[in-house]
Amino acid sequence: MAATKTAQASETGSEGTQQNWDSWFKNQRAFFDQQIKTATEAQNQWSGFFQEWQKSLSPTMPGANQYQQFFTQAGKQFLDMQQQFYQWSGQDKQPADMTGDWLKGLQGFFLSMLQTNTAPYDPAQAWKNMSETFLKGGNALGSMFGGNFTGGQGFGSNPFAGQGFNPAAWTSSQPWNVQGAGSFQNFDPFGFYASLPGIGYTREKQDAWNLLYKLYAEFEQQTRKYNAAMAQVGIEAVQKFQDYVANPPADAAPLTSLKEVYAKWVDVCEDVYARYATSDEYTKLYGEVVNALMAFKGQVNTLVDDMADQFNLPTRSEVDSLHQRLHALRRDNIELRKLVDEIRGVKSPKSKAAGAPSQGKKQTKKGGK
Amino acid sequence: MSAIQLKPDQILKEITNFNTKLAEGVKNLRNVGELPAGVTEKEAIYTEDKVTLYHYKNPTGKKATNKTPLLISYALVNRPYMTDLQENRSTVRGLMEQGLDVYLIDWGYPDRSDRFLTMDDYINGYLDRCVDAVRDHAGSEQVNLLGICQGGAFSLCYTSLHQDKVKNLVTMVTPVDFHTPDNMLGQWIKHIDVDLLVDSMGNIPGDLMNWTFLNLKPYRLIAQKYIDMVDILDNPKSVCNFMTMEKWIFDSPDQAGECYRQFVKDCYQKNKLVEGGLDLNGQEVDLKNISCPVLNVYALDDHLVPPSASKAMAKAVGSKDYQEVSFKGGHIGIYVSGSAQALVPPSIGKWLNERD
Repeated sequence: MAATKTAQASETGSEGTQQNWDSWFKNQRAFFDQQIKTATEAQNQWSGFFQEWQKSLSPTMPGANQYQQFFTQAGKQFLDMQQQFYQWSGQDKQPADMTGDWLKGLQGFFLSMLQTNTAPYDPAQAWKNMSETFLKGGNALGSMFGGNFTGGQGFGSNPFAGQGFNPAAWTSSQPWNVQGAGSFQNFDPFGFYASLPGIGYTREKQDAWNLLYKLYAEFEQQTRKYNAAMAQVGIEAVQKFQDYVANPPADAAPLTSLKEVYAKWVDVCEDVYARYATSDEYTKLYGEVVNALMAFKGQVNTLVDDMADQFNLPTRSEVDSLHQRLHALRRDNIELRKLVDEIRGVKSPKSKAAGAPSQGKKQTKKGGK
Repeated sequence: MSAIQLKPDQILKEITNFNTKLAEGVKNLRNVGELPAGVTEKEAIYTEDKVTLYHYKNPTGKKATNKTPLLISYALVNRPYMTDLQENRSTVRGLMEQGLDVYLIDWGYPDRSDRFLTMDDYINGYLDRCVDAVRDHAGSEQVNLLGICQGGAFSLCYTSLHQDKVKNLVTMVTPVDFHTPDNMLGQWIKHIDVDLLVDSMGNIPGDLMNWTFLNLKPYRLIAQKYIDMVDILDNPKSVCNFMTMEKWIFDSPDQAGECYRQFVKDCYQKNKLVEGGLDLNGQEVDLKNISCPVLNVYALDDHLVPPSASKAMAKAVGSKDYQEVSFKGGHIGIYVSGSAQALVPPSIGKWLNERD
């Protein structure tokens, strides 16, 4: 009986403690809610600003969008993490459960990235990506190309223009039945036609555009491989972090703030990434994706030169040729001046070699930045 | 026991602090204004094409005590004002405090008209003519040459071919052996078709270079760095310091295509500074020809030029007077951190003054 009374008293005490705790926590929450409410607007602004800023740091690299998002996500992760932990803290969740949920979210992101990049390749989408992402670009030249790609409204360089080749048509669900090509789902109509040699008057131009498509498709597939590898890095990092959380080294200090949790997460990610990024597998993959991009860009250059020539504009190769000759002349000039100085008995070449030094010349960056 | 020991009230407090700093930070960021690109007064004494040679004026008015002028040859990557970033973070000022007469080459911003500049044009052309200009200006037969990073590699090449014009050579965070296993850039470039890259791009865009450097530590440099920035956002001075660095990091000139082609193929891919065979317009670069005193300054935590890549210089050069200074920090910290300011310029100054 006495024991029962003690237990009841203890329960009552616990309930009281719990009520006090709940009450205190409710007040605290109300206080922080108010503060967070006033700060939320700033955070929202910041999130947008932060992401825009990060985007501005990276070059407009074709096909890099998803790859860029992958890393940008790493920064956004902290903001998301804050938000999630904040919400969970009001749901009586234990820190371990909060962390578990957060990591599950991360794992889901990386798995989704992996899935996207290992899903069957869609050549029709590749064509669409090429015409929209690269060539329409929102600028005048891009529009010119875009016209070419979307039905022969350009100026005639596109061999497909006016010959009934309309890429948009290939994205329809029309059940094509090409002998030997299998079902439509597995049939790459662009690849199929792009692999045919050009014929007739525009033969060389057809080949040039076919090559452009092939090089783009190659680049896109290499990029998918690269992104898939990066997703694997993310998945491994989540696993390593989970292991660390569950079994930290004996001498490791506990992580007592969100900032410390995030910093540890970054450490783990960098560690996994660094090991992979110095592996033979990665260096080959990196080389393949860069080489594929450059091959595509080289072919774009060829076609741009071809078009510039049609407009009676100087081409890049012509301008390059002039620059080469100019540099060769300057080198000759420098050597000749040295020779003249020697003949004249000038003791040392000193400062005036290629031309008299001028003063006060203002440095500008890339057209005036 | 779980490694994570968070308490709900602490989480709320941390989030509140973070958001408060964010709100104040936006205001401070807006107030940053114009950021300096070098702080010490300097005079352009020679220009050619986009290259400018500067002579620094000592803010204290004191005359240099070291008789030999010191010429700084910076890398083509990024801008040389890293050496003179702020009044209290200036390697240039630190060197002048040691009694040195300091000159610096600003390579400028190459554009497509510079696409065919070669390594030879830079080293036996611009650099040589800047050395001559300094000799003229200072009235000295020789210069002390201080090469930084890629500028250090150029200085090694230059000294091997023009030893008579260089009294002492100092290199900072300079790669020599590009094939050490911890050289991440060296690994990445292995399978790149550099000819295809240059033929397609012409010049190599500074943005592309930056993107590559960021990806050496992507989680830290693209994400965590800006999360950490929030900690200092409520402090206008710290914000200004941060943005000054940020400006420098992304102030990246394009790389002249032909020079890039040879540097990457011969140095990064074929490791010719160590293996031999680097050819500049018919002249072979042999680092064994370097007989003057050499001081090699490297950073122990350098992720761009690992110490192993730099320390290979010891066996590569022919000098009998070779010394090293190691600094506990990174590739950038060696110019700007407080500890670097206290160690690096005084060490260089002392070493040069002992050999004047």
